[in-house]
Amino acid sequence: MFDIVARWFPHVVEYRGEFISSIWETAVMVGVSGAISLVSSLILGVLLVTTPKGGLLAAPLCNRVLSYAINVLRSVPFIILAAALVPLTRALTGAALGLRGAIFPLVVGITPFFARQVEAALMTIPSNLIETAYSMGFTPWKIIRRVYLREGIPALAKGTTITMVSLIGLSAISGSLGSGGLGDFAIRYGYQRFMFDATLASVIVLLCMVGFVEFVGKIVVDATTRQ
Amino acid sequence: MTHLFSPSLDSERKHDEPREAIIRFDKVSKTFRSGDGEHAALHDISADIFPGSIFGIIGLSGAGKSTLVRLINGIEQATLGEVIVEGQKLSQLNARQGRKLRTTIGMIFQSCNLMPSRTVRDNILLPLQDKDLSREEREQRVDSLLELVGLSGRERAYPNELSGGQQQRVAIARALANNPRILLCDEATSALDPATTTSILDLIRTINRNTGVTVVMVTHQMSVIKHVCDEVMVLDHGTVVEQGSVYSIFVNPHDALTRTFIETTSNLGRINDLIHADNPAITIGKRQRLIRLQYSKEDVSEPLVSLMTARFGVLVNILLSDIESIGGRPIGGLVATIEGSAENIESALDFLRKKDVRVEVIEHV
Repeated sequence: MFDIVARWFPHVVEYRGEFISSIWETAVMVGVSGAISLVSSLILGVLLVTTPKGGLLAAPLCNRVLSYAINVLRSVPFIILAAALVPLTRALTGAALGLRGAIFPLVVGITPFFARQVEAALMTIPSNLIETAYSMGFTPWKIIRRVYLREGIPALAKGTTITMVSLIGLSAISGSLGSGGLGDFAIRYGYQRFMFDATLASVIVLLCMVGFVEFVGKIVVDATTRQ
Repeated sequence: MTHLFSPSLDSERKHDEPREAIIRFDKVSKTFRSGDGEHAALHDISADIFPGSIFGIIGLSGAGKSTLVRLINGIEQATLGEVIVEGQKLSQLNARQGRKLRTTIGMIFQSCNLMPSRTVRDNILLPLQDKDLSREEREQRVDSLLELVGLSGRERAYPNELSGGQQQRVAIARALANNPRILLCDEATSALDPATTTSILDLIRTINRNTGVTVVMVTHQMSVIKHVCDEVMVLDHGTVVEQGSVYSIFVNPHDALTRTFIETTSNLGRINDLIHADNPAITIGKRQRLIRLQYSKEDVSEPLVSLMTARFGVLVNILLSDIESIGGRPIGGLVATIEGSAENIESALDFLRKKDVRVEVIEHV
């Protein structure tokens, strides 16, 4: 077994310590920035759905500003966004490189996309259900918690799965900016030093990660869907 | 025979005691503003709904009936006028008082609106979540509500595992969870088949009689009004065209729309279909008239038709006849051809009118 791996992936075996820590770094980057982004995206997504005219927390101006800001952020390619954020990242986290430097740009990069996913998920909840909760005398906050967020779980799980897959992709891109992780490993060894097996191994691990995310997402969606 | 149709003790008592309205519409108007102008949904509506009654609001789609019922729990607000619920002017309530009021008003909808990710039990518990109740009290409440609506043992089911009628029963249980004093029903039976509709209406009436909850029922089906309501308001394009006790409206409808609604529930309405279809049963000869009679006297045993034929020398051929009971009181009617000389027919019809029979000559030939 080890012989086959050593034959096909000689450089990966040679640099296995770094390879394994790259996997770990990618997992941490995706996990931490995903968790932070989940919280901020739920807040933004709820605001996007509830602030339009006639909504639960109607504030049309706020809605337009928010929507516009999200569109602007989404239209900047991630690699340029991350580069442009370097001064801010350094000011906030004290580092622009490595894991610490990677998480803030990833959060900024994925949150607009994630917030739109949350918005789309919450839009699937029929307005009848909101009206019903309102007729029970619930406060807006309770309607958000008990109807939007609770009844939206299957759709939110789908949106979260899609987002996490995109986030794994972004984490690899940020590798080219010195963030560490599998993207960094693939570029430094596989691309710049022509060790193609390093690139291939990174791709295989990333594929496994995406597969795992999709698998967990499907389990959650299937367990919560009642239509 | 007669005692069957005597008014119940209940309705007699209602007439004797002075009552205060639990819901009052005082010159209420509602206008929706949208980008391309204004749309008047309701115009100058006034009505009193009394505690313990079942009040029907009927109209065609777009008549404003759903908007009207939504004014009661503040889902919509009146543009002009005042809605007063249990003595509170809704326009003067702040957001928190409005929510508090809504917890005392149950509402059911055409589409049931059960929360799909929650079991029957959790749906019923939804309005109780902010109540300070122990675990046992909650369980007991769910059990007794399920028993009331006839769904004991189904508390673990999800809404998608239930039929439409069962879902509406859960919705009723949920609406009653807080012991509301008012139950609003917005087209609650419109999506159900006739047999299920009847069972849901019977359930609502039983609950009304047992708990005294005031029911406001919006519908486009006169059969629903006839089946359960005490009072009815007929809405047309946002205005009240007729209002009163269901019995009086059925006996003496003034508005054409009301008559159209009533005909949908009466066997006598079929005469229009027969005329349209040129049915040979209603070819009318030279000396004949097609008449419709409606009598609402409690004594329906007097043989008026026989008396009339004997006394005025006319021949009567009954095509359709119908007798039904509304709120325990009878309404009878028949469609017939009457044959004889013009004077005799006229005197015969006058005789009927003097006996408080409503006479309508449908078609002259």
